[in-house]
Amino acid sequence: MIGDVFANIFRFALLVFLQFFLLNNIQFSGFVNPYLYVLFVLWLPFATPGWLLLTASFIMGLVIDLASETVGYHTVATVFTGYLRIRLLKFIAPHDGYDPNMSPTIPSLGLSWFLKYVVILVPAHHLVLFCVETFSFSDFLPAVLRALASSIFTILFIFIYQFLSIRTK
Amino acid sequence: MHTLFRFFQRHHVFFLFLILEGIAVTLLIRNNYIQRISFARATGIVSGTIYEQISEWSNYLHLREINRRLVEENAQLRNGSLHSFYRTDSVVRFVYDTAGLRKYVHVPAKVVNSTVNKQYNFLTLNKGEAHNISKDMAVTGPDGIVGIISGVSGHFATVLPVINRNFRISTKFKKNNFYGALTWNGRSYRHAELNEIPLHVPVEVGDTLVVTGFSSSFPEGSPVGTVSHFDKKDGNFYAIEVLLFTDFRNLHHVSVVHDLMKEEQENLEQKITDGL
Repeated sequence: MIGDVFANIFRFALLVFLQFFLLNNIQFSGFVNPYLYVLFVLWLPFATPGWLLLTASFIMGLVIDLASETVGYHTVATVFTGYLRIRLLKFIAPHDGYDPNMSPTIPSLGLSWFLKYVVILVPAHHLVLFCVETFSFSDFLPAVLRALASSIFTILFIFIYQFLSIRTK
Repeated sequence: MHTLFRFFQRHHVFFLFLILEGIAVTLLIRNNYIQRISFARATGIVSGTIYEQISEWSNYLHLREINRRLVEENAQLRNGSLHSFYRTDSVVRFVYDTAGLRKYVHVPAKVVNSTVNKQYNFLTLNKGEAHNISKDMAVTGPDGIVGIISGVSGHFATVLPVINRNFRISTKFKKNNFYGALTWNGRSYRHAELNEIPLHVPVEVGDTLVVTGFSSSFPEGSPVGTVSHFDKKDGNFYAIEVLLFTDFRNLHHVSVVHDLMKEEQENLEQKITDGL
């Protein structure tokens, strides 16, 4: 349990680091910008209570906002993703339920389940983020396109991250 | 009241969600007004530090390009500097200008191949006859002398560097102009030997050595290295160990010095020899 807490704090720090020193500096033609940090919210253990999950999401969003000199965009999107995760987990639960000691990862619930989980949550996060960022309806369509394109890259990075962390275990 | 409390308890996650989103949206909206200035200022300290670090790293990645530009700029500056010109007037004046005949042209070149761990080391440069480079021209690096052009092809040139046992150059003390022959003993690529300095010369560790204008194609005063060690070994001369300014293991860009008046000088000297 304590080990879980430290693992998640470490992941928090690592993802913030990666976001700032790597991903924010990669310009995929200026159109897409992957936001891997959302993986932190996705990876929290099943046993995480709702209030903690939302608070953790809030803090993650705030930290990213602070560092990217924006106010609120990432916080809005990340808290939304946290809440959606709580709803979604009930919705796509396997027949025998979740093992509370586990986290939503590929090894714990399999590739197809994880893909479903990620493909819903990541674009949701990106859509909220890019739309809030645009903040107008006239540029709505480009924002959606950017969100979807960026989601593809974020999901790709999530898979790379997961495979690397599995291999090192 | 009790039911209301139970209702909140059951849906506490949803209400927390609403509260947190409320805070975030408030931040977001107020961001468009006065808040933005103070908040951005506070966060600017955090992100400013981060971006400074990022820019330092990316600078490191662009060092190759930066170096190339600096070498070109150096060559350009040296072409304009006083020692590239041969003064045509015989009267000593204290007002210097560039109204003189050009004596030296510096051609920037890149080291494309080099050895440092052999007894007869060589460098290869990416400039050759196509860039007016010919045999016996001097090669200098950003810190000090590098060597002499020993062979040229169309687009490449080989350099006999200081760290080759066949290299020999007349070198003098910057402080008092006593000169001797600088050679390399093949032991360390950072050090060379200076011989023929008589014992009455005051030598100290750290003395700077430069090229004399006698035998070489180097402009007089090109930096060579500093005295790192010396002892009065054999007879009447010092054995002086010289720490070379040029680190051959970390040498990427050099300039080839084209002495425009060397031919004239040599022709004249040849006539004397022939006349005798």
